[in-house]
Amino acid sequence: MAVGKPILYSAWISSCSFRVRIALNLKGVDYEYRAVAWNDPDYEKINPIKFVPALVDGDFVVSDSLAIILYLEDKYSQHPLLPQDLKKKAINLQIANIVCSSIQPLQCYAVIGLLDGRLGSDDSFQIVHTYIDKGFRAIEKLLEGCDSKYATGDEIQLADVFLAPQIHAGVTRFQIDMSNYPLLERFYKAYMEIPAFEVAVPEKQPDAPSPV
Amino acid sequence: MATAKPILYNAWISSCSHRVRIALNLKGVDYEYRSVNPLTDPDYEKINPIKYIPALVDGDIVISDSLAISLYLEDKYPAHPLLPKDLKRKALNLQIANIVCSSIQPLQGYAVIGLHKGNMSSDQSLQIVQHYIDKGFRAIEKLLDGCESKYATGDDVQLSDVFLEPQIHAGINRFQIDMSKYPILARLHDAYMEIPAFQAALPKNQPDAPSS
Repeated sequence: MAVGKPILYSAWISSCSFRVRIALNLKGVDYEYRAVAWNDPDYEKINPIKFVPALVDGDFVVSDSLAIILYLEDKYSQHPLLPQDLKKKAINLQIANIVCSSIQPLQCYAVIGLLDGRLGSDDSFQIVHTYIDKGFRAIEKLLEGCDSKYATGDEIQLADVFLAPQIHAGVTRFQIDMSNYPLLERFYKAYMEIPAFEVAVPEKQPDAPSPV
Repeated sequence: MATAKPILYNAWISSCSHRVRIALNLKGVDYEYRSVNPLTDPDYEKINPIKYIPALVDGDIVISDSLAISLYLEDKYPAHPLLPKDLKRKALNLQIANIVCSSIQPLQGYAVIGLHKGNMSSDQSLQIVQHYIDKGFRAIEKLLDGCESKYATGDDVQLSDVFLEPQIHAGINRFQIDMSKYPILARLHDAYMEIPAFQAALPKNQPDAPSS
Protein backbone atom coordinates (compact mmCIF):
# COMPACT_ATOMS: atom_id res chain seq x y z
CA MET A 1 0.00 0.00 0.00
CA ALA A 2 1.43 3.34 -1.01
CA VAL A 3 1.95 5.70 1.88
CA GLY A 4 0.80 9.25 1.16
CA LYS A 5 3.32 12.04 1.14
CA PRO A 6 3.44 14.16 4.26
CA ILE A 7 1.26 17.25 3.95
CA LEU A 8 2.57 20.60 5.07
CA TYR A 9 -0.04 23.21 5.90
CA SER A 10 1.81 26.43 5.27
CA ALA A 11 1.50 30.02 4.15
CA TRP A 12 3.97 31.59 1.78
CA ILE A 13 4.87 34.52 3.99
CA SER A 14 5.00 32.65 7.31
CA SER A 15 8.55 32.52 8.65
CA CYS A 16 7.58 29.56 10.88
CA SER A 17 6.46 27.64 7.77
CA PHE A 18 9.63 28.71 5.96
CA ARG A 19 11.70 26.95 8.69
CA VAL A 20 9.91 23.65 8.12
CA ARG A 21 10.12 23.94 4.33
CA ILE A 22 13.91 24.27 4.66
CA ALA A 23 14.12 21.24 6.96
CA LEU A 24 11.98 19.11 4.63
CA ASN A 25 14.13 20.12 1.67
CA LEU A 26 17.41 19.43 3.49
CA LYS A 27 16.14 15.98 4.44
CA GLY A 28 14.97 15.26 0.90
CA VAL A 29 11.36 14.72 2.00
CA ASP A 30 8.85 15.00 -0.82
CA TYR A 31 5.76 16.68 0.61
CA GLU A 32 2.44 18.08 -0.48
CA TYR A 33 2.12 21.85 0.01
CA ARG A 34 -1.27 22.92 1.25
CA ALA A 35 -1.73 26.65 1.47
CA VAL A 36 -3.75 27.93 4.41
CA ALA A 37 -5.56 31.19 3.86
CA TRP A 38 -5.76 33.76 6.63
CA ASN A 39 -8.65 32.88 9.00
CA ASP A 40 -9.58 29.64 7.22
CA PRO A 41 -12.29 28.22 9.57
CA ASP A 42 -11.51 24.57 8.70
CA TYR A 43 -7.89 24.85 9.69
CA GLU A 44 -8.74 24.79 13.39
CA LYS A 45 -9.39 21.04 13.09
CA ILE A 46 -5.78 20.60 12.01
CA ASN A 47 -4.27 22.98 14.58
CA PRO A 48 -6.49 24.25 17.40
CA ILE A 49 -4.32 27.31 17.95
CA LYS A 50 -4.78 28.14 14.25
CA PHE A 51 -1.14 28.94 13.51
CA VAL A 52 0.80 27.59 10.55
CA PRO A 53 2.68 25.39 9.95
CA ALA A 54 1.23 21.95 10.67
CA LEU A 55 2.45 18.63 9.35
CA VAL A 56 0.22 15.66 8.64
CA ASP A 57 2.18 12.44 8.28
CA GLY A 58 -0.15 9.46 7.84
CA ASP A 59 -2.62 9.54 10.73
CA PHE A 60 -0.47 11.90 12.73
CA VAL A 61 -0.77 15.68 13.00
CA VAL A 62 1.83 17.90 14.63
CA SER A 63 2.07 21.68 14.84
CA ASP A 64 4.67 24.21 15.90
CA SER A 65 7.76 24.47 13.78
CA LEU A 66 10.17 23.24 16.47
CA ALA A 67 8.02 20.22 17.32
CA ILE A 68 7.65 19.43 13.60
CA ILE A 69 11.37 19.76 12.92
CA LEU A 70 12.38 17.62 15.90
CA TYR A 71 9.88 15.01 14.62
CA LEU A 72 11.48 15.17 11.17
CA GLU A 73 14.88 14.83 12.84
CA ASP A 74 13.81 11.54 14.42
CA LYS A 75 11.95 10.18 11.41
CA TYR A 76 14.18 11.18 8.51
CA SER A 77 17.82 10.50 9.15
CA GLN A 78 19.21 12.36 6.13
CA HIS A 79 21.04 15.58 6.94
CA PRO A 80 20.89 15.51 10.73
CA LEU A 81 20.15 18.96 12.12
CA LEU A 82 21.37 18.45 15.68
CA PRO A 83 24.97 17.56 16.57
CA GLN A 84 25.71 14.73 19.02
CA ASP A 85 27.98 17.02 21.04
CA LEU A 86 25.86 18.34 23.93
CA LYS A 87 27.39 21.82 23.93
CA LYS A 88 26.86 22.36 20.20
CA LYS A 89 23.40 20.79 20.39
CA ALA A 90 22.47 23.16 23.21
CA ILE A 91 23.64 26.26 21.35
CA ASN A 92 21.60 25.20 18.32
CA LEU A 93 18.49 24.81 20.48
CA GLN A 94 19.17 28.09 22.26
CA ILE A 95 19.48 30.03 19.00
CA ALA A 96 16.39 28.32 17.55
CA ASN A 97 14.48 29.29 20.69
CA ILE A 98 15.67 32.91 20.62
CA VAL A 99 14.07 33.08 17.19
CA CYS A 100 10.89 31.15 17.92
CA SER A 101 10.18 32.38 21.46
CA SER A 102 11.91 35.76 21.82
CA ILE A 103 11.63 37.31 18.35
CA GLN A 104 8.91 35.87 16.12
CA PRO A 105 5.98 35.83 18.60
CA LEU A 106 6.43 39.56 19.21
CA GLN A 107 6.84 40.21 15.49
CA CYS A 108 3.60 38.31 14.94
CA TYR A 109 1.86 40.26 17.73
CA ALA A 110 2.87 43.50 16.05
CA VAL A 111 1.82 42.38 12.56
CA ILE A 112 -1.58 41.14 13.75
CA GLY A 113 -2.02 44.28 15.84
CA LEU A 114 -1.54 46.38 12.73
CA LEU A 115 -3.97 44.25 10.69
CA ASP A 116 -6.58 44.42 13.48
CA GLY A 117 -6.21 48.14 13.82
CA ARG A 118 -5.13 47.89 17.47
CA LEU A 119 -1.67 49.22 16.71
CA GLY A 120 -0.66 52.11 14.50
CA SER A 121 1.97 51.41 11.86
CA ASP A 122 4.68 53.26 13.81
CA ASP A 123 4.01 51.29 17.00
CA SER A 124 3.87 48.02 15.08
CA PHE A 125 7.14 48.74 13.32
CA GLN A 126 8.78 49.79 16.58
CA ILE A 127 7.83 46.54 18.32
CA VAL A 128 9.16 44.43 15.45
CA HIS A 129 12.41 46.37 15.33
CA THR A 130 12.92 46.25 19.08
CA TYR A 131 12.58 42.49 19.30
CA ILE A 132 14.49 41.62 16.14
CA ASP A 133 17.33 43.90 17.25
CA LYS A 134 17.38 42.47 20.78
CA GLY A 135 17.44 38.90 19.49
CA PHE A 136 19.97 39.50 16.72
CA ARG A 137 22.35 41.38 19.02
CA ALA A 138 22.20 38.52 21.51
CA ILE A 139 22.91 35.95 18.79
CA GLU A 140 25.86 38.02 17.52
CA LYS A 141 27.30 37.94 21.07
CA LEU A 142 26.66 34.21 21.48
CA LEU A 143 28.46 33.52 18.22
CA GLU A 144 31.24 36.07 18.69
CA GLY A 145 34.42 34.97 16.97
CA CYS A 146 32.59 32.42 14.82
CA ASP A 147 34.67 31.62 11.77
CA SER A 148 32.79 28.57 10.53
CA LYS A 149 30.77 28.57 7.32
CA TYR A 150 27.46 28.52 9.17
CA ALA A 151 26.31 29.36 12.68
CA THR A 152 27.67 26.37 14.57
CA GLY A 153 29.97 24.67 12.11
CA ASP A 154 30.58 23.93 8.47
CA GLU A 155 27.34 21.99 8.14
CA ILE A 156 23.85 23.46 8.20
CA GLN A 157 22.24 22.78 11.57
CA LEU A 158 19.05 23.64 13.43
CA ALA A 159 20.20 27.16 14.28
CA ASP A 160 20.63 27.96 10.57
CA VAL A 161 17.17 26.57 9.73
CA PHE A 162 15.66 29.02 12.24
CA LEU A 163 17.93 31.97 11.47
CA ALA A 164 17.43 32.13 7.69
CA PRO A 165 13.65 32.80 7.77
CA GLN A 166 13.97 35.38 10.54
CA ILE A 167 16.72 37.25 8.69
CA HIS A 168 14.77 36.99 5.43
CA ALA A 169 11.67 38.47 7.08
CA GLY A 170 13.77 41.22 8.64
CA VAL A 171 15.34 42.15 5.34
CA THR A 172 12.33 41.82 3.02
CA ARG A 173 9.48 42.99 5.27
CA PHE A 174 10.83 45.08 8.11
CA GLN A 175 13.74 47.12 6.74
CA ILE A 176 16.28 45.63 9.12
CA ASP A 177 19.78 46.93 8.44
CA MET A 178 21.84 43.75 8.48
CA SER A 179 25.13 45.67 8.56
CA ASN A 180 24.43 45.92 12.31
CA TYR A 181 24.71 42.13 12.55
CA PRO A 182 27.78 41.13 10.52
CA LEU A 183 27.81 37.43 11.41
CA LEU A 184 24.14 37.01 10.60
CA GLU A 185 24.60 38.98 7.39
CA ARG A 186 27.42 36.64 6.36
CA PHE A 187 25.36 33.54 7.18
CA TYR A 188 22.34 34.82 5.27
CA LYS A 189 24.40 35.25 2.11
CA ALA A 190 25.71 31.69 2.57
CA TYR A 191 22.17 30.31 3.15
CA MET A 192 20.87 31.89 -0.03
CA GLU A 193 23.46 29.87 -2.03
CA ILE A 194 21.91 26.60 -0.86
CA PRO A 195 19.12 25.10 -3.02
CA ALA A 196 17.20 23.73 -0.02
CA PHE A 197 16.92 27.29 1.32
CA GLU A 198 16.39 28.93 -2.05
CA VAL A 199 13.36 26.86 -3.05
CA ALA A 200 11.82 27.40 0.39
CA VAL A 201 11.77 31.21 0.18
CA PRO A 202 8.30 32.78 0.54
CA GLU A 203 8.31 34.34 -2.90
CA LYS A 204 8.66 30.91 -4.55
CA GLN A 205 5.75 29.19 -2.82
CA PRO A 206 2.62 28.19 -4.77
CA ASP A 207 0.46 30.66 -2.80
CA ALA A 208 2.81 33.61 -3.14
CA PRO A 209 1.26 36.51 -5.01
CA SER A 210 2.53 36.91 -8.58
CA PRO A 211 5.09 39.65 -8.83
CA VAL A 212 3.64 42.91 -10.15
CA MET B 1 37.92 15.33 41.71
CA ALA B 2 34.46 16.44 42.79
CA THR B 3 32.41 17.96 40.01
CA ALA B 4 30.78 21.26 40.91
CA LYS B 5 27.01 21.35 41.05
CA PRO B 6 25.24 22.90 38.09
CA ILE B 7 24.23 26.50 38.75
CA LEU B 8 20.78 27.75 37.84
CA TYR B 9 20.48 31.49 37.37
CA ASN B 10 16.83 32.21 37.97
CA ALA B 11 14.25 34.10 39.98
CA TRP B 12 11.39 32.92 42.14
CA ILE B 13 8.59 34.42 40.08
CA SER B 14 9.89 33.55 36.60
CA SER B 15 7.69 30.87 35.01
CA CYS B 16 10.48 29.94 32.58
CA SER B 17 12.77 29.33 35.56
CA HIS B 18 9.98 27.39 37.30
CA ARG B 19 9.96 24.90 34.40
CA VAL B 20 13.66 24.17 34.76
CA ARG B 21 13.42 23.84 38.55
CA ILE B 22 10.76 21.15 38.07
CA ALA B 23 12.92 19.32 35.50
CA LEU B 24 15.99 19.42 37.77
CA ASN B 25 13.94 18.15 40.71
CA LEU B 26 12.36 15.33 38.70
CA LYS B 27 15.80 14.23 37.54
CA GLY B 28 17.21 14.40 41.06
CA VAL B 29 19.88 16.93 40.06
CA ASP B 30 21.33 18.83 43.01
CA TYR B 31 21.94 22.37 41.82
CA GLU B 32 23.02 25.73 43.16
CA TYR B 33 20.24 28.33 43.08
CA ARG B 34 21.54 31.75 42.05
CA SER B 35 18.96 34.48 42.18
CA VAL B 36 19.37 37.16 39.56
CA ASN B 37 17.48 40.23 38.39
CA PRO B 38 18.61 40.76 34.79
CA LEU B 39 17.21 44.30 34.81
CA THR B 40 19.57 45.38 37.57
CA ASP B 41 22.51 42.97 37.34
CA PRO B 42 24.91 44.23 34.62
CA ASP B 43 27.12 41.12 34.84
CA TYR B 44 24.32 38.75 33.87
CA GLU B 45 24.66 39.68 30.20
CA LYS B 46 27.91 37.69 30.11
CA ILE B 47 25.93 34.60 31.11
CA ASN B 48 23.01 35.23 28.77
CA PRO B 49 23.35 37.98 26.15
CA ILE B 50 19.59 38.32 25.73
CA LYS B 51 19.33 38.91 29.50
CA TYR B 52 16.46 36.54 30.17
CA ILE B 53 16.33 33.90 32.86
CA PRO B 54 16.87 31.04 33.37
CA ALA B 55 20.41 30.09 32.44
CA LEU B 56 22.23 26.92 33.44
CA VAL B 57 25.97 26.63 33.94
CA ASP B 58 27.10 23.00 34.01
CA GLY B 59 30.87 22.71 33.96
CA ASP B 60 32.01 24.57 30.86
CA ILE B 61 28.54 24.56 29.30
CA VAL B 62 26.38 27.69 29.60
CA ILE B 63 22.87 27.39 28.21
CA SER B 64 19.88 29.64 28.24
CA ASP B 65 16.26 29.23 27.27
CA SER B 66 14.17 26.83 29.26
CA LEU B 67 13.48 24.45 26.38
CA ALA B 68 17.15 24.25 25.37
CA ILE B 69 18.08 23.68 29.03
CA SER B 70 15.36 21.02 29.47
CA LEU B 71 16.49 19.12 26.37
CA TYR B 72 20.13 19.34 27.57
CA LEU B 73 19.10 17.92 30.97
CA GLU B 74 17.20 15.18 29.14
CA ASP B 75 20.41 14.12 27.39
CA LYS B 76 22.76 14.51 30.34
CA TYR B 77 20.66 13.21 33.25
CA PRO B 78 18.78 10.06 32.30
CA ALA B 79 16.70 9.76 35.51
CA HIS B 80 13.02 10.39 34.84
CA PRO B 81 13.02 10.79 31.08
CA LEU B 82 10.79 13.66 29.99
CA LEU B 83 10.26 12.67 26.37
CA PRO B 84 8.65 9.39 25.28
CA LYS B 85 10.30 7.24 22.63
CA ASP B 86 7.04 7.08 20.67
CA LEU B 87 7.33 9.77 18.00
CA LYS B 88 3.67 10.85 18.16
CA ARG B 89 3.66 11.30 21.93
CA LYS B 90 7.07 12.96 21.80
CA ALA B 91 5.78 15.42 19.20
CA LEU B 92 2.66 16.16 21.25
CA ASN B 93 4.84 16.93 24.28
CA LEU B 94 7.01 19.29 22.23
CA GLN B 95 3.96 20.93 20.67
CA ILE B 96 2.36 21.63 24.04
CA ALA B 97 5.67 22.85 25.50
CA ASN B 98 6.02 25.19 22.53
CA ILE B 99 2.47 26.53 22.82
CA VAL B 100 3.46 27.60 26.33
CA CYS B 101 6.95 28.92 25.57
CA SER B 102 6.30 30.51 22.16
CA SER B 103 2.59 31.33 22.02
CA ILE B 104 1.70 32.24 25.60
CA GLN B 105 4.61 33.26 27.81
CA PRO B 106 6.43 35.66 25.44
CA LEU B 107 3.25 37.75 25.14
CA GLN B 108 2.72 37.54 28.89
CA GLY B 109 6.32 38.73 29.33
CA TYR B 110 5.76 41.56 26.85
CA ALA B 111 2.69 42.75 28.75
CA VAL B 112 4.37 42.50 32.16
CA ILE B 113 7.38 44.51 30.95
CA GLY B 114 5.07 46.99 29.22
CA LEU B 115 3.30 47.65 32.50
CA HIS B 116 6.57 47.84 34.39
CA LYS B 117 7.95 50.43 31.96
CA GLY B 118 4.74 52.46 31.95
CA ASN B 119 4.01 51.82 28.25
CA MET B 120 0.58 50.43 29.01
CA SER B 121 -2.03 50.59 31.74
CA SER B 122 -2.64 47.72 34.13
CA ASP B 123 -5.95 46.99 32.36
CA GLN B 124 -4.28 46.82 28.96
CA SER B 125 -1.49 44.63 30.32
CA LEU B 126 -3.87 42.21 32.01
CA GLN B 127 -6.04 42.05 28.90
CA ILE B 128 -3.11 41.01 26.72
CA VAL B 129 -1.98 38.36 29.19
CA GLN B 130 -5.46 36.92 29.62
CA HIS B 131 -6.06 36.91 25.86
CA TYR B 132 -2.96 34.85 25.12
CA ILE B 133 -3.35 32.50 28.07
CA ASP B 134 -6.96 31.86 27.03
CA LYS B 135 -6.00 31.27 23.39
CA GLY B 136 -3.24 28.84 24.36
CA PHE B 137 -5.20 27.02 27.06
CA ARG B 138 -8.25 26.55 24.80
CA ALA B 139 -6.01 25.07 22.11
CA ILE B 140 -4.38 22.70 24.61
CA GLU B 141 -7.79 21.62 25.92
CA LYS B 142 -8.75 20.70 22.32
CA LEU B 143 -5.45 18.89 21.71
CA LEU B 144 -5.99 16.87 24.91
CA ASP B 145 -9.73 16.33 24.36
CA GLY B 146 -10.72 12.98 25.89
CA CYS B 147 -7.50 12.73 27.92
CA GLU B 148 -8.02 10.18 30.70
CA SER B 149 -4.43 9.65 31.73
CA LYS B 150 -3.06 10.88 35.02
CA TYR B 151 -0.98 13.58 33.35
CA ALA B 152 -1.15 15.34 30.02
CA THR B 153 0.25 12.62 27.76
CA GLY B 154 0.28 9.54 29.95
CA ASP B 155 0.60 8.26 33.47
CA ASP B 156 4.13 9.60 33.87
CA VAL B 157 5.05 13.25 34.11
CA GLN B 158 6.55 14.37 30.79
CA LEU B 159 7.86 17.55 29.16
CA SER B 160 4.41 18.98 28.51
CA ASP B 161 3.57 18.74 32.23
CA VAL B 162 6.84 20.49 33.13
CA PHE B 163 5.83 23.40 30.88
CA LEU B 164 2.12 23.44 31.71
CA GLU B 165 2.30 23.74 35.47
CA PRO B 166 4.29 27.00 35.67
CA GLN B 167 1.95 28.59 33.12
CA ILE B 168 -1.16 27.44 35.00
CA HIS B 169 0.36 28.56 38.29
CA ALA B 170 1.16 32.02 36.91
CA GLY B 171 -2.32 32.25 35.44
CA ILE B 172 -4.00 31.48 38.74
CA ASN B 173 -1.71 33.42 41.06
CA ARG B 174 -0.87 36.49 39.02
CA PHE B 175 -3.42 36.94 36.22
CA GLN B 176 -6.84 35.98 37.64
CA ILE B 177 -7.35 33.09 35.21
CA ASP B 178 -10.53 31.14 35.87
CA MET B 179 -9.41 27.53 35.51
CA SER B 180 -13.00 26.21 35.47
CA LYS B 181 -12.95 27.11 31.75
CA TYR B 182 -10.12 24.62 31.21
CA PRO B 183 -11.21 21.45 33.03
CA ILE B 184 -8.42 19.17 31.80
CA LEU B 185 -5.73 21.68 32.76
CA ALA B 186 -7.44 22.28 36.11
CA ARG B 187 -7.39 18.55 36.83
CA LEU B 188 -3.75 18.26 35.75
CA HIS B 189 -2.78 21.18 38.00
CA ASP B 190 -4.31 19.42 41.01
CA ALA B 191 -2.37 16.28 40.13
CA TYR B 192 0.91 18.22 39.77
CA MET B 193 0.46 19.75 43.22
CA GLU B 194 0.66 16.27 44.75
CA ILE B 195 4.18 15.75 43.40
CA PRO B 196 7.13 16.77 45.61
CA ALA B 197 9.31 17.77 42.63
CA PHE B 198 6.60 20.26 41.60
CA GLN B 199 5.93 21.46 45.14
CA ALA B 200 9.60 22.18 45.80
CA ALA B 201 9.82 24.19 42.55
CA LEU B 202 6.93 26.55 43.37
CA PRO B 203 7.80 30.26 43.33
CA LYS B 204 6.81 30.75 46.97
CA ASN B 205 9.25 28.00 48.04
CA GLN B 206 12.33 29.59 46.48
CA PRO B 207 15.11 31.20 48.52
CA ASP B 208 14.48 34.63 46.94
CA ALA B 209 10.71 34.59 47.36
CA PRO B 210 9.49 37.45 49.53
CA SER B 211 8.44 36.36 53.02
CA SER B 212 4.73 36.84 53.48
